[in-house]
Amino acid sequence: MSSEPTTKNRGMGDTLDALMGVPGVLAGMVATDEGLPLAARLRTELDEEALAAAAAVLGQLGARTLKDVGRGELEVVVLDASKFRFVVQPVALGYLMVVTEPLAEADPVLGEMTSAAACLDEAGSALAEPRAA
Amino acid sequence: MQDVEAIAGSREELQEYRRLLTRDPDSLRFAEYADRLRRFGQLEDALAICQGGLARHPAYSTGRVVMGEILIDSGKADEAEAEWRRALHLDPGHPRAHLRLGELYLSRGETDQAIAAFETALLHSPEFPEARAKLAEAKGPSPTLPAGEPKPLEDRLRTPGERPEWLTADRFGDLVQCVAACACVETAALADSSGSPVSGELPEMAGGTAGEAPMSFLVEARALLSRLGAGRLRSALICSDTLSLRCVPLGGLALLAALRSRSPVGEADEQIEECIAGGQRSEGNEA
Repeated sequence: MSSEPTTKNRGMGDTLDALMGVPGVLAGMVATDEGLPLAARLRTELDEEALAAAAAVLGQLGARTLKDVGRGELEVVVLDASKFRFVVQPVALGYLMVVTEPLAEADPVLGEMTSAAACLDEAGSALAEPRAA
Repeated sequence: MQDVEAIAGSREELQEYRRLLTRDPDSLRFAEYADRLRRFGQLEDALAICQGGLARHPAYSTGRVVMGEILIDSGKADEAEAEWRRALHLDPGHPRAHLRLGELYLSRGETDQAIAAFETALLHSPEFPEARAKLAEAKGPSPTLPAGEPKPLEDRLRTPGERPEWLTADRFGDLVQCVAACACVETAALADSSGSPVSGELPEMAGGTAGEAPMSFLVEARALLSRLGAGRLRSALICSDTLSLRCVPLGGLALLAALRSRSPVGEADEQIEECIAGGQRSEGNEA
């Protein structure tokens, strides 16, 4: 996103910048549950809004699948496609999505996403505090 | 050839739409009017009406679908595809948009993508006869039963498109055993398009047919990738704190493998891919 007016949003941008440093990562994004982009870093021809919508759809699909089979809460969904790999993790603000090259190593990306999700959740809680007060 | 009365009736209908839109230029019924004009072959008028309506209601997904239909009838396939994708961006479950994209894929010989699109249309609108008919067409005719009847499993598994050529029924067990024996895998099964296991054992899951939810996930994931233009679905991984489920589509079948807790994802993928590659190699050797 071009304008990030608050300190918290800069924190979100920094988190995405760190993700973009992982080999093979082409895009990082935080999207709301409704599929709207909150922050994004893109190095692909993929459309930001379409990616945000996809992050929400994938997250909800994964959560619904696990609910249907009665096997816990969603931690992560990975879709391997011939052109890209999509990884979606739920966070307090919605969903964190990373797009990588199709053959990028999965485990370093997943490890970095877990750290990023923790940072985002911290930022999300801090954002929620003033409203709660 | 339409008979004279039908044409006269339809002309009255067109006049009625024209009057309605003159009275209420903001009406969403511009899409129906444009669609009627298209069916009459009045493509230029249809295009003008639809463009005017979409200028007022750019987020009206059905209007986008109709615009795509006018464009495809005008020989502009790429522009039509873009309109249907816009419609799905606005309403991801629009059955007619999925149907039209499926028809376009089918015309290009992209059968897997077409099947995924028709299945998604039916997922959102199970009683959609046009999508059902197109799905049957995309999957190929049944040699033994009339159209519409479910085919027995053995027949379906012989049908191209239901499974890769190398994965003959006598290899199901070998593939599943190979995957289940991987260090990172707890249980493995091969499931048909309804989610019922045709070989192996599914991980313990709730629900009537335990594999139904993962199969439904794969259908929607394929459609999502198609909308994004991200290519063919190779596999999916769904993880919770108690289950890591790797799903690999193999035509109309899917290999479902529950990974052991804390297994490295990359290592598990390599092991599963090696089993699949082994099956493909054995077919090559026999040939």
